[in-house]
Amino acid sequence: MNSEQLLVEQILAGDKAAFERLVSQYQRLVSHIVARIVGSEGDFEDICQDVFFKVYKSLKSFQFECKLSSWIGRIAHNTSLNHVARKRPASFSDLSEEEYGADSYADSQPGPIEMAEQADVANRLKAEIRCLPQAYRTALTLYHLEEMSYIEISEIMSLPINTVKSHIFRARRMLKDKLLAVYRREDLCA
Amino acid sequence: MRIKHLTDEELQTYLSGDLACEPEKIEAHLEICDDCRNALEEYRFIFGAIETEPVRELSPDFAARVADKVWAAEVEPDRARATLWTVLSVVSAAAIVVMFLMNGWSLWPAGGAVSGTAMMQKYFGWVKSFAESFGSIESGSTYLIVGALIAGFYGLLDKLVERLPIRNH
Repeated sequence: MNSEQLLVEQILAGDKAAFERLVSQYQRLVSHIVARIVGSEGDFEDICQDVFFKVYKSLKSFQFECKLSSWIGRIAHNTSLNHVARKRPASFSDLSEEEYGADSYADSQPGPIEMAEQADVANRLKAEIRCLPQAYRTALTLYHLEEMSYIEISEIMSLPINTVKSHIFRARRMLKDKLLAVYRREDLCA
Repeated sequence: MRIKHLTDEELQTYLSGDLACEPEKIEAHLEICDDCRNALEEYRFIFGAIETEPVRELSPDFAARVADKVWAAEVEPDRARATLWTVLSVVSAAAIVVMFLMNGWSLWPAGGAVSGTAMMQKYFGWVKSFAESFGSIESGSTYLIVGALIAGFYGLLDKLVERLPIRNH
């Protein structure tokens, strides 16, 4: 029995401390996914909590067909998408590049970018990441900040591996193009 | 001769450390191509900037608070229900044992073999007479009481089976 199975067995046997360990272990992953899809304001912490309620309720049915992190990530991903769908109609950042066209991205109206108080490159990049289509943003975050493999990301987002790769490649290219439209190459590579 | 530049995908794959992009070929090209070297540096900046991007963290006591809430909402009510059910099951089982000790001996065939149907008739007759021993209680209610006792007994059996070391996985 590996450590994940042991942890799950302990929780199912009624060990509260084991559940607290599970939450501690995966709260960073959950918060990254929720923050990327829902944003880190308002209901952020409530949604993260809701994710762990669902994790507990579904734990009995977890069959270890994938890693526990992928399974919890998928619950966080679906919960966040449901929350967004309930809260508001799809905004441009929820759509894929194909759905709204790369040009409309370039012509986007005042938004988070203009709200960035300092116009330095790092802030600009942060704002540009927030403007990426939601699926690109999520895949990029899981790859770079959670250091997940394409397979794990595809399990979490329920997308084919090639689609995940394509989202990540396109997201990076969009970020590069957007920054180079504003800054000189020397500013980026100084 | 026109140089074939590296694609965005090749540059990104190279920076990711993915050996599928054949790093030696990429490096050989980078040696001779300023454009691709510049593009690589731009991507290097993007990679570094994404990886240092801060994301909001949850409060330090988040895990403890969530565990408390989940336990209060999901586990403790279940435990209370399970305890009540166990008590009821034990009481029911004890009542059935008492019933059997008082009247059950009469089920035993007195002389020779008895058919299954006759045994069942005798059994239900015994249950009915026990129920009627409650005296003033309406006959419909007596059957309900006996039904509840039997259900409780099966509840106890269910609990015992649950404790057997059988796993689905």
